[in-house]
Amino acid sequence: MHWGMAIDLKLCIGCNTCVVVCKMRNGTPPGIFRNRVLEEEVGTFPTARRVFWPVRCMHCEEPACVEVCPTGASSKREDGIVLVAEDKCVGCKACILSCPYDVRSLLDKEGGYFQDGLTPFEERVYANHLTGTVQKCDFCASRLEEGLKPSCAEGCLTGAIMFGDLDDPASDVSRALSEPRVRLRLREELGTRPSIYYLT
Amino acid sequence: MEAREFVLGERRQQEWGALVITALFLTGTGSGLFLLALPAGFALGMAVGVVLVMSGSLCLLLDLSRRLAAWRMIARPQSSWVSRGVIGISSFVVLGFFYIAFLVQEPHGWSSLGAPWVGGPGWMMGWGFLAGLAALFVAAYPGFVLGSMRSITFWNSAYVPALFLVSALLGGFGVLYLLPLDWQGLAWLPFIKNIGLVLVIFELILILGLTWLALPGACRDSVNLLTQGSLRYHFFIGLLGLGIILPLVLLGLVSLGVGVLSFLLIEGVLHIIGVFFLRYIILSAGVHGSIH
Repeated sequence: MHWGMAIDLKLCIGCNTCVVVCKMRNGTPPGIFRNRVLEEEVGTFPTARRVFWPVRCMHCEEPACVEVCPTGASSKREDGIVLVAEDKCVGCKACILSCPYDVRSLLDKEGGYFQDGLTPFEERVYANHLTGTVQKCDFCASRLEEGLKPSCAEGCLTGAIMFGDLDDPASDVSRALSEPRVRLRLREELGTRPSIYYLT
Repeated sequence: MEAREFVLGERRQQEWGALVITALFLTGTGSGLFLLALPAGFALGMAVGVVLVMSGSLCLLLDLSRRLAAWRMIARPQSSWVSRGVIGISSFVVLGFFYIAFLVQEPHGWSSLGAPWVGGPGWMMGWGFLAGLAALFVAAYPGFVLGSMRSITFWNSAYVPALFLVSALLGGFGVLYLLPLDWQGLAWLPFIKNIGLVLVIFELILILGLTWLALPGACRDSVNLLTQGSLRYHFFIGLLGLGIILPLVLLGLVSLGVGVLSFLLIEGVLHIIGVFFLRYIILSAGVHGSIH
């Protein structure tokens, strides 16, 4: 079992639904994004266009974050998911500096989106996060246990995000990767071997 | 939320700021001072070194978000240089403290010079050797910590640990010059001056190597920050001017026998400034490469 993702850049329209769905499901406080859609401008007028790069933790096979973590808070499971154990994290930020994908952030402030204090929803969901710890995507590990897909993959309007077991040839992700298309993993030169592939 | 968070591109690191820079400055200077004072058996120098390292580790502690859980940081020495650093600093403080405690029992006390431990018991010599090894580690390990950050290519250079070590020794010289010592009557003053000169030249070579041999991409962007960007004044005036060129000139004048004592004091201050700026610019120039 090796959880992984394939993201079809031709299908991604940069709508940021995956970002919003992730924030809603995981109840992340202001400033904390477990995934983002980065914009890139390519080409020149009159053929200039924008390309959208949905990024989240790449759940690398050789994660740089796990290597530098001094407490063992960052770890990799047998199914390939890289997790942060919040109770062990001391907020040294070494993993944020080490991660080549800039997908980790420190939850260093308390408070919500509104000036009048936390809403009942915020009170409930923020209690799941420990202030002073590093936050990142965990492929919605709790949803996987229920047999569900990660929220971003489920919420993607265009079906650009495909998720599944990379070891299973019949999974959505394996089938997408077997198509005769150009596929790449980000910053492969660093030897991290990400579990997220991009189809161009 | 900032707009840059959603645009593809390179980003300057902001995770390790003033506290970490101060910590690296204090631990580097302190360990360098200890390394220089150890062979001379200069207990006051060693004590100041240990205090500086302890102050630096306090800054590192303050930089953590969850300080009460800091003890967990010794859990991963097998892979994490941060963890190794915490163990190294702790070992240094313990070894250094007890070594100084042994040393002040000697007849010459705090201002002792001339390596009294050589005539002391064997275990004391061994203890001093271990304390020296720990100090060497504390002086060099920040370079390895930075080198282990795969995202920032400017730090992934063999020059960085060497620079931190050389600069720590120079910082040690800096503080040593400011401590109450009878420099005029010191037999090994010419030797110290020569070592200082070699270290300054070596540091200059390492800095030139680090900046000239930078690879394209984020690493080159880091160098551009130093040479053309917002850090150019810190780099040219703070590090190269005050930290290297001026000490070289002063060392030259001291070699000619001009105003030895006052120049040594000024040089001490300049070395310390140079140590601070080196750490400041290396950390501030860290740029995360673009993901694509």
